[in-house]
Amino acid sequence: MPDSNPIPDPSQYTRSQQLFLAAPEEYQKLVRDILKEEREVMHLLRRPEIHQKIVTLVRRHIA
Amino acid sequence: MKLLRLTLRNFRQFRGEQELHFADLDERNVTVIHAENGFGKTALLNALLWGFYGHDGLTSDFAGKDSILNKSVAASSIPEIEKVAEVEIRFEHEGHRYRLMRSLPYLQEKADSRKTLLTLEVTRDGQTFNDRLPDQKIRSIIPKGIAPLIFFNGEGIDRLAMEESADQVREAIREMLGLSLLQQTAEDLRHHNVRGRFRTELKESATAEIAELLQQLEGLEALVERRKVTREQAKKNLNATEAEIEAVDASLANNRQAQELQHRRQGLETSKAKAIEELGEVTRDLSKLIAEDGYSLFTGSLVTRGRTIVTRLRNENRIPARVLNVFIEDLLNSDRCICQRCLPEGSEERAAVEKLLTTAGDQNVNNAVGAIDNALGRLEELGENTRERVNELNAKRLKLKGDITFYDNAIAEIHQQLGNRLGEEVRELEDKRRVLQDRRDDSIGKIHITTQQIEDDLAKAEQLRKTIDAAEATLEAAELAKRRVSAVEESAKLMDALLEAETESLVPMLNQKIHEHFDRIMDRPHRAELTQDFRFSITQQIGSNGERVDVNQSTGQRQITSLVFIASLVSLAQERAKIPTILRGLSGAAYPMVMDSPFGQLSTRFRKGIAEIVPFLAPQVVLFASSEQYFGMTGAVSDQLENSNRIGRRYYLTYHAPSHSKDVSDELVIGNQRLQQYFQADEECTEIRAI
Repeated sequence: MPDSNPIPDPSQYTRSQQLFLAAPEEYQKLVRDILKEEREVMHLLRRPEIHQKIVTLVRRHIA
Repeated sequence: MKLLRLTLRNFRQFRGEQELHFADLDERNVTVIHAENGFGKTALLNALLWGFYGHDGLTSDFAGKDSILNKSVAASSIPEIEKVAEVEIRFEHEGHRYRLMRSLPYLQEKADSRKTLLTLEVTRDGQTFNDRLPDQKIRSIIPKGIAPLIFFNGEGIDRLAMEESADQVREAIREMLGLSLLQQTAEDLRHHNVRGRFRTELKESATAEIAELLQQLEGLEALVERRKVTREQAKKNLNATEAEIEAVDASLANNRQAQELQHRRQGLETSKAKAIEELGEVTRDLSKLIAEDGYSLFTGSLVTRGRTIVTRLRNENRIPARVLNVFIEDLLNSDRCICQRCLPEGSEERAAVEKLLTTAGDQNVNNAVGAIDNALGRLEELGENTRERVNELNAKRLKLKGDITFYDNAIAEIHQQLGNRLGEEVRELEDKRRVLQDRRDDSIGKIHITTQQIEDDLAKAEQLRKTIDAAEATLEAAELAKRRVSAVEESAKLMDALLEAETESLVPMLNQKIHEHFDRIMDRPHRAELTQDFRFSITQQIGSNGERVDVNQSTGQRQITSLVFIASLVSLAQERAKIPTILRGLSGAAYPMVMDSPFGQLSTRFRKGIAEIVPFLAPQVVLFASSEQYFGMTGAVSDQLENSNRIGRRYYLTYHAPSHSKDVSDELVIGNQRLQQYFQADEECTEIRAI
């Protein structure tokens, strides 16, 4: 799951959980890390560094 | 989150310090603020919004947003340093108490009224300290996106239940239930600082030809974004124009000379809208049919020719073949005929058997001809069915077109009658309506054209991407950059899909809440439902077999539906932690609802209905109402609310000015109490007084 709660029983996966797990593992890891960064800044009025942080994450995961 | 106290200091017409405490008991959760129109209801609502969000939070109908400081104070001779507008809000959230103070000094207002000073004190475990990031903290408690849903002007809230507000409804669900993180992430991934940067890297490592294609792709994507902005603007214009048309229609419906024709016109316009919708569906069905099976209409001669060939082959006994070539070959390989004669090489017998090979058939040919025969039959049948269906859809299409022309003519005739024969007021309203209709048609046209252009551009972009993929497949140097661009694009698509799935999964839960609220106020046979495409439908049960039909919603029903929707969201937001989601840490939050004039110009029945549910809309409810709205229509609202025993606090606004509107009484009468609400004074100001 992107940044989710305890892993549920696979038979009870929601549609979004199924969609996420169907994505390549490389993207799952990337998305999970990006969401962590986004969560940190989601209530800020200005978020100047978020784009740079995403770029760094993409470079790290897709090398 | 629970509001505790609001203190205003020189905020707009509230001169000096004014204060009100909100009802905060679970069983007495309603605060009523009586205020006549023009006395300061909207300013009070905006004081809360300004307190929480500053200039950006003010509502669009709040005039003079740059003049927050009370005008008399601004013009007075007191030292400039003491001239300050301030809003203080005390509230409680998750067991902590907060004191928010937003202020705007006179000199700052003159320089830039958007820049305000904000402090937020938090009291936790008996200790008080200042929050270092007050704006961020406030937005984490009440995200700005949900503000229009919990602090709103009730007049016009019915628009939420209109067909064209589906986008707004979807946004509301996402904001209130914490899904905007996914949306924001998708936008950030597509930002030119992220995707654009990797594209640049790709261009730098690609050939001139690919660089050119990438350039084209970027141009196309930028164009799509611009078109989306244009379409959004057209949608906003359309909504505003439709609100104006609705107001004109309401005036015409209330005018004795025009009401009969107006009602007829409304009926015709509803029928026309339905016919247009059906026409769209029929046209789509027709296009799909032509795209998928249309070829079968042109295969008549092919089928005939095929049939002729098969028949000839049959007549010539070539199919099915009497002797198969594999059988002859087996005989030759075994050097022995079926009659047991030997077939040595060069013998006459062998030559006779070999000759049979020229006429023997092939099993594969047998099978193929059989399959062709079968396919020809199916093609013929499909052709007939398609022709029949095309004719049927075309007839339907023509009928609907005829109906639309009929409605157009009838509507045009009513326009002539209203514009020519009746009084001045009706003529003026009719003229205004015509201008607005033209404007509406322009907006609709613009939306359709832009949508089509966006679809075309997206298809072109997809094609370009494929071309680029093909060209890049051979370039090693560009491979990494390409993978990164793909990762960004695919991740953004995944975000879109997750957001869509998460939002859709909330619809059944919302519907459960909507039914609970709606059942309290509407007759049993009626049922409100949020559809999967985020539109509201009200259905009515007919007969005893449970069959339901759609009901055209009146303004009153829409108002109720909208309030019920917001209340359902508020209620669901409270239970957020229990709802399965892919996102971590979405906790529940209880929000208040602050409503300015939710009763609008509704009829007695609907006012009663809304008044009945008001106490149950949210854990805490603040209601602003004029005397007419509250006590009018033989106490439709007041009786309900008083009998609910839910009113915990009550205030009224007094207006001090040289004069006031003649429609407003000097006194506010509540039961046996007569409270003076207008005071003649040289300078305009408003006071908050407790009852």
